[in-house]
Amino acid sequence: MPFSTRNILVSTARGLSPGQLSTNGSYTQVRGVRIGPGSYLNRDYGLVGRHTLPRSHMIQWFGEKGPNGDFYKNPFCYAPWDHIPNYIPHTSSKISRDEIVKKMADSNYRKGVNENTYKPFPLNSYTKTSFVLSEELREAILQSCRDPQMSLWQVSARYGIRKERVAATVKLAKIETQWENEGKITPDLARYAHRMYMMMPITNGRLSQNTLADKLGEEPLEEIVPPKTAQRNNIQIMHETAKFSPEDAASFFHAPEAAELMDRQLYRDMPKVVSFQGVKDKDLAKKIKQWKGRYTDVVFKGNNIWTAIPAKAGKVGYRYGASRDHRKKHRKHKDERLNI
Amino acid sequence: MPKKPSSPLRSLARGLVRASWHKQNLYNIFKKEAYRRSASLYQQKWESKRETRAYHGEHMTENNWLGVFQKNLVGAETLHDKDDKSGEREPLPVGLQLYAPVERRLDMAMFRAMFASSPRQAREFISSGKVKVNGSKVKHGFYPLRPGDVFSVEPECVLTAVGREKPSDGLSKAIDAKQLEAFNKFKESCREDPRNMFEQKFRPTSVDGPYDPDRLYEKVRAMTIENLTNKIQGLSLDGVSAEELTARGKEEVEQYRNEFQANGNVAADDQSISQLATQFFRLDNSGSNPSPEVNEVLKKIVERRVDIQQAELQELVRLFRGAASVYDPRWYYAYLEDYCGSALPWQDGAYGLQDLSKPYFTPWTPRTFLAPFAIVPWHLEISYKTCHAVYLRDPITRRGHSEVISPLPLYMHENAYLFYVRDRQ
Repeated sequence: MPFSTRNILVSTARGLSPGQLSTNGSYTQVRGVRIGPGSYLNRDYGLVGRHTLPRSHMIQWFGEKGPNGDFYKNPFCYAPWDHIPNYIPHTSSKISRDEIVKKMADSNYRKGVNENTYKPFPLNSYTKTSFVLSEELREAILQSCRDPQMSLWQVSARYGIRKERVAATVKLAKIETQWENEGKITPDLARYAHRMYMMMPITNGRLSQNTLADKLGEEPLEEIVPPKTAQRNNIQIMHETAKFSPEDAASFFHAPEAAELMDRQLYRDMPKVVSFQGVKDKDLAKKIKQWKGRYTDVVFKGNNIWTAIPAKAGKVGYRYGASRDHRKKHRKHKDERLNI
Repeated sequence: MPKKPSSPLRSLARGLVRASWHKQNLYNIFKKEAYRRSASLYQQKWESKRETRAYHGEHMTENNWLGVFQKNLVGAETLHDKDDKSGEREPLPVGLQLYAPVERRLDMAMFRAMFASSPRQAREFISSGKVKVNGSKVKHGFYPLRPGDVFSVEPECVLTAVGREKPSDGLSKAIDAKQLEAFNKFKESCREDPRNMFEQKFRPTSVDGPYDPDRLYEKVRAMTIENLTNKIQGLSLDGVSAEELTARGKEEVEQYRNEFQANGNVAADDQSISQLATQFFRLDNSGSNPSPEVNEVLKKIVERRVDIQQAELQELVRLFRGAASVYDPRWYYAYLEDYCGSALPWQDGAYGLQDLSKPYFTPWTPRTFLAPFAIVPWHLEISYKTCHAVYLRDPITRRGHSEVISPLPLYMHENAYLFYVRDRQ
């Protein structure tokens, strides 16, 4: 067992009994614990004069070493093979973390899969692991994407996976096929990929809803991040009895209504409006006017008409950072960015 | 000049949690407890800042961090959540969005995709030209990714980061010597008492429990329930509780059961049993028949017509082979050097040095203490086969869930936000 019953002698300066590490049974109170005169005489554990107290606690926690140097008895040493994560367990205040880790040695522990199994850190219950797409789900997504009658949003809604993720899956599958044809996937790399797949939690999404992982792996598709105009403080003075509807909010923020936005996300590929183009030709104003109200207002400023036009996300604006390799003559740049 | 750590990265006394796979860091995470020291507001904010910055962007200077710090923290909502006025909604942990800009960095994204053991190591790979974004080499760790960017790392780097450390010649020899000693002891015991050693080797371990045909059958059934959709042909719902199957699964099982009953039952005859035995359990069909206990289990499996995939039953093969094999006094000869041609038959070459040209442990094996850090990120899509990943979106926060991965509690992030919004502007 990694948690030996041999305790390190600790002074009773803070009301601790000999052998008690700290008042709440944890290892945290390192600075507060007073080391008494007898503590270094811990000949039982063979740590005489070799390590500081915190370090000797840590050595005790790791446990016994195998012939190849592995702490093979520590429950966190080896990665799982059954897609069930091996995280630090969540505990209630009544049971200490050490006791639960002792129970991890029991074979039945891995059968009790619940939501906390997929939360890696006990202090933060808002951080949850995502799920790798299972082989079946991945194959189904790729098959559906090959169907010309199915659009991206339809595939996304069918399997409960977000659009950008579906697009990314297709892109990465193409790269994998290319690498396989070129023979770049070495035996070690294949071994690594298989091992990573076996240790990560997997989901079938909406393909089959049998396990908890399938339910948790479904991603929320109907999400709205507030538009940039709404992220600032906005104050509008209005009468007490005046009503403020979602349409009013949309016009105030110069953004589409939330329902319309969601409608676009689900049922239409909404182009991302990111750039402004000064239009000098006034004959074009008629064409631009029909865009008015669909995306943003048309603004007449001086001799120019300004509006927002649909543009592919990211291919606009200034690229920050020092990577101007695409402009270097001796380096070829092939933009392989995924256009979601 | 890259920023050097201002405090020891893995200090046990300070107990700061770092973005690293080091086992000492795991110990620090394990022993960390949430506590609110009764201190002034500024002291609480300062401590929260210290703890959170030690994990999020420790490798960034404070000025670099302030350059990307955003005052406005935004969460995502769904429409039906907004209309829900029951008052039982999960809280929106917007405070965790504080360090979302750090996740955009290329070195941080590489760490999240598990291509490097820490953002510092990721930065090493980037600066040595092993990383590409959208096909172009990028040599700066601060490169901010945008939705749709495809970044890739050279596989050798990833295999070195995620794999075990390559042992030195001396260490490998020492480990082989220990292994040989233990193996020779084992062979000696086999020579002295082959019967006892045979039973020890093939006896089910305490984890599996005592050999019990019903229990083994339950195990087989439990494994197949996990993959319920197309594989089950005639599973009876007797004895399977409703909680085990979801509503949809139950419907599918009913459907399959009706089809199965229409086609007629299949009798568990000797032919089908022996077929199953040879096909799935690789039992020798020449003369020795399976033992009565094994026969009973196989009969049940065939009667229930549970469709078994061979890969799912690798565990049981060992048990059945052990139980079903007839004892032969020369069973251990396969391990002797004269027969297998090697002193350590499970190893090809020295320990960890099967391929001397590689910089990592060969055959490739994952490093120890990787499991607690094996987190799949929500904002990246990763291909392990090619060491490519796609940056899907900036990590967002929704009710009850934040895509920003952090081991520290929400209140620490909120306090750190208060610190930066007021005291560092």
